[in-house]
Amino acid sequence: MAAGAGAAAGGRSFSFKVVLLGEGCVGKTSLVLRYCENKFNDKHITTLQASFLTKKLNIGGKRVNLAIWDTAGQERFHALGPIYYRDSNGAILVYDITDEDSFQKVKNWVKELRKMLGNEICLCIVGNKIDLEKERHVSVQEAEMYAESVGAKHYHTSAKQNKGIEELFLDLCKRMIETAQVDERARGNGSSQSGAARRGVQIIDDEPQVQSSGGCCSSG
Amino acid sequence: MVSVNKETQDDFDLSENTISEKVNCQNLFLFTVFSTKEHLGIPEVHMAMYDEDILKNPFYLAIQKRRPDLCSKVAELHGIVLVPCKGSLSSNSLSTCQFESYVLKPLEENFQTLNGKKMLAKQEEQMNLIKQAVEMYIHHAIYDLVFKYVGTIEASEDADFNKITRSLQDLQQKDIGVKPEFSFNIPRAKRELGQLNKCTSPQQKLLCLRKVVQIIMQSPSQRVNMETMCADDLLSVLLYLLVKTEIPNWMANVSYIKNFRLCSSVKDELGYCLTSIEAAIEYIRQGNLSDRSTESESLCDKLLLRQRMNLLSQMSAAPIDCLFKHIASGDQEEVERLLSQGDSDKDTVQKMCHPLCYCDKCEKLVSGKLNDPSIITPFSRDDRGYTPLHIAAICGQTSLVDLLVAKGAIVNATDYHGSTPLHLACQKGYQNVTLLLLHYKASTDVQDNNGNTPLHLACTYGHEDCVKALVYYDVHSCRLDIGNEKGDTPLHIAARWGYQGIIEVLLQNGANPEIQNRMKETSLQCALNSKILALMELNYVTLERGQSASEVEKLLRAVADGDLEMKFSRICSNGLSVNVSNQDGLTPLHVAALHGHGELASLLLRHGASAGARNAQLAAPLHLACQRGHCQVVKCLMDYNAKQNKKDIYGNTPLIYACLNGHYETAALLLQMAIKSFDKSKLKSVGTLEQSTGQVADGGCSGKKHSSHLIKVEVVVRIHDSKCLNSAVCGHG
Repeated sequence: MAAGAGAAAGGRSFSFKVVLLGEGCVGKTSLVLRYCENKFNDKHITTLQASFLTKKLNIGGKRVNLAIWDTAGQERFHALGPIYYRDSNGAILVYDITDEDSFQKVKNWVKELRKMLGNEICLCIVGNKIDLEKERHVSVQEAEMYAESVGAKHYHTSAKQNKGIEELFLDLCKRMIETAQVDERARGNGSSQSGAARRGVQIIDDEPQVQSSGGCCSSG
Repeated sequence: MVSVNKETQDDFDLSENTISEKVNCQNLFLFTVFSTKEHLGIPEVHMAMYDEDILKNPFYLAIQKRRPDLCSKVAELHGIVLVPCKGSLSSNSLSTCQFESYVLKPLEENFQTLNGKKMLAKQEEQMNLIKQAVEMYIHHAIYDLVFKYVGTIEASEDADFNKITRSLQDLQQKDIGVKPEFSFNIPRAKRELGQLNKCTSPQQKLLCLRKVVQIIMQSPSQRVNMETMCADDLLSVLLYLLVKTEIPNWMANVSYIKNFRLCSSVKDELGYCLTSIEAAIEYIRQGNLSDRSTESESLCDKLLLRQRMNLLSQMSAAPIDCLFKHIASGDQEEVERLLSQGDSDKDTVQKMCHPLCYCDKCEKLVSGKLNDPSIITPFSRDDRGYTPLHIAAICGQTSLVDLLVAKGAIVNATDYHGSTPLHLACQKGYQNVTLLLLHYKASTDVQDNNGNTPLHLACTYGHEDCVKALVYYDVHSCRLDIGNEKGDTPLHIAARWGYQGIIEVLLQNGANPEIQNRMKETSLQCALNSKILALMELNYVTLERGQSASEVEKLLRAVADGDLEMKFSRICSNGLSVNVSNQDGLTPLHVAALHGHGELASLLLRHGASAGARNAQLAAPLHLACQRGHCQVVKCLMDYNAKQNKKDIYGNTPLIYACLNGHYETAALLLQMAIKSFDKSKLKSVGTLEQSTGQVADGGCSGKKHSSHLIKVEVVVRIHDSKCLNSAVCGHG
């Protein structure tokens, strides 16, 4: 099912789209590769498809299908952002702690995402490469304060040392489930086929509803 | 609560037990519905279109042979049979398998297998398979119809996009930023992408796109290290493929997939592939690639590189590149200065012992001049074989084209690809340069190494104005039906990429849509969408009368527009007679008379146009001129002895028309002229005049508002009569 809360009535299964944003060399692909395949990009023998990855999780009995979309990060492709992040439930914004510029880029992305998708989307700001702590150029305090001010969570990770990554994704999933459930309740138990409705096509079952007892017969 | 995995097994065990040897989830089932509408007890079979013939499927044959009872039951229940794809079941398991577990019957909102296992809607995987199968089945049936309409809706978008991609053909992988390690798979990906238009459902198209993406990411061999491919890398490869793959209907395809993809999620991998393609298309549409590849820029880059190299060798930039740079920037003075350096022949001669001397010293002086690379002439070439005129054409520098031709540049010089400056001007879409080169007698028939004429290139790159320049400049000599190395005529190309305006121009000027290319396709068969096809058929039908008819029509149109010199010169150069007539018998003189172009009429008459030519209604030009009251033309015609007494098919003379339409001056003029020629015609004209008056007075001809004119006419006639008689008397006296 396409909707954020991709669950048919009664079933607990979600599929989420998470976009991955960040400048070219901040290590966003290493991050997801580490998470999904537990590989680190030192030397690959075969090509690794890092642009689209999936991960299946089971969180408290709820099945979650995570689709992680890498987005084009080069400056020349900047205008294409909205094509990639429409319909996404979460965004992971990665910066390199040794590179002040990459943090500025993250700030720009946050502004854009909030403008286009509002508060529906769960934002994670990730300072990657904490293994290079001594070359840090973005202060922990500044980053965390900024994240809080825009309603995002901040994480410290190292793809190389596999630090903080599991935690990041698990946290994100929990928040997305929450958002989805709130959304579902707001829409009235999520009984409507929200996935179809969103795209403007709704398939309506035109079979006549079975008359409940107390119809014309009992009255007559 | 039962764990999720447990639930799966309890509810429906197809995937776990029965079909344990399944190959691939996507190809698990053919999907069969036995309809109840069968006659004679034979169930009608519907199936989803996977690429397998169900009548040869071993499972299907087995269930029909062994369990006919099941088949009829399915039909009765509106049930569904899940047919495993060929090869997904081993042949010996066919004999043992439980057919019941493959048959689903509807049960409330869900399905149940016949052996009692319930299949729930939340069994997403199976349900999705069924949904996809149904979708594919339905889409396959209605594909032609739906896609035709989508193509029509997106026709102009597609043409615009094609125009952009065509102009990017000389783009290299490195220009787009394709990393060399990913270029290995590009040819295979390109071939795969070429299959896109053979797919008949959104799902199949998406699968095709996914396959392309997968191919792009394949590692060439186990030993070669490949880098991780991220979205940026993928996007640049896709950009390259979009430009280089000859798919002319990208917008239609994307729109079709997006709008008719009903059941699959937008968040899965297929969705990602589509999004990447969309992003790439958008990038190209925004013109970001076009900006990067402007020719003058690349020239400058090249110059810069050359300068750097020369710095190393302590030399200045090659003067030819310097000249080219000035041409590109349109610096006329500098170009003139550089070229005039070579003009100093006189100095050389003066330095020689005597002009014909061939002593060593003088030889050196002369040959040194010829071989000196620092002397540049309009004939110098760079490493692509470009002459200065080529560069001026590429950069659209009209005034420099003039200058260079004046300096003796060869108009039809070919570069190492066989392209003339005209080829390049048409490719880049500079109409003014094209016209100028044509004026300097550039040949339109030269074919480059790919067999393309300038017209082919103008069509490929969608430059309608250049096509018009080529076609209209000299319709007779511009050959529209030359095939390039693929056998494509310009019309094939324009039809394939959907350039509406160009197609019209070509067809109206007699391009033949029936010519076949090497693939045995006519240009009608190449038509991009139904809109283009309809356009082509429309234009073709009207022209089936024959090519010369269209020539004449065009000439007549030109005359009607009163375009004096150019159009008239066309008559002569085209070998058409000044007295040609179209289907309705109209000659150029008729048309000039009708539209009151006096000057043109006299020009035509001077060149031997017959003043007495009759059209289909037997009307001479004079009739038409009188009808409209064009005095000047009437005068011209009379000067050339146009007969004023002739009757047209309705029995009307020119004078009657002048009177009918109330052209007093014209009528007076006619009468005066008649008097002049009285001697010859004696009283005959008076006779006809009286006759005319009679007719007018009777209201015999179906006139409009002649009552008010009647009086005038009668007055004129009376005056005339008396004059005539007088003069007649005088003449005789």
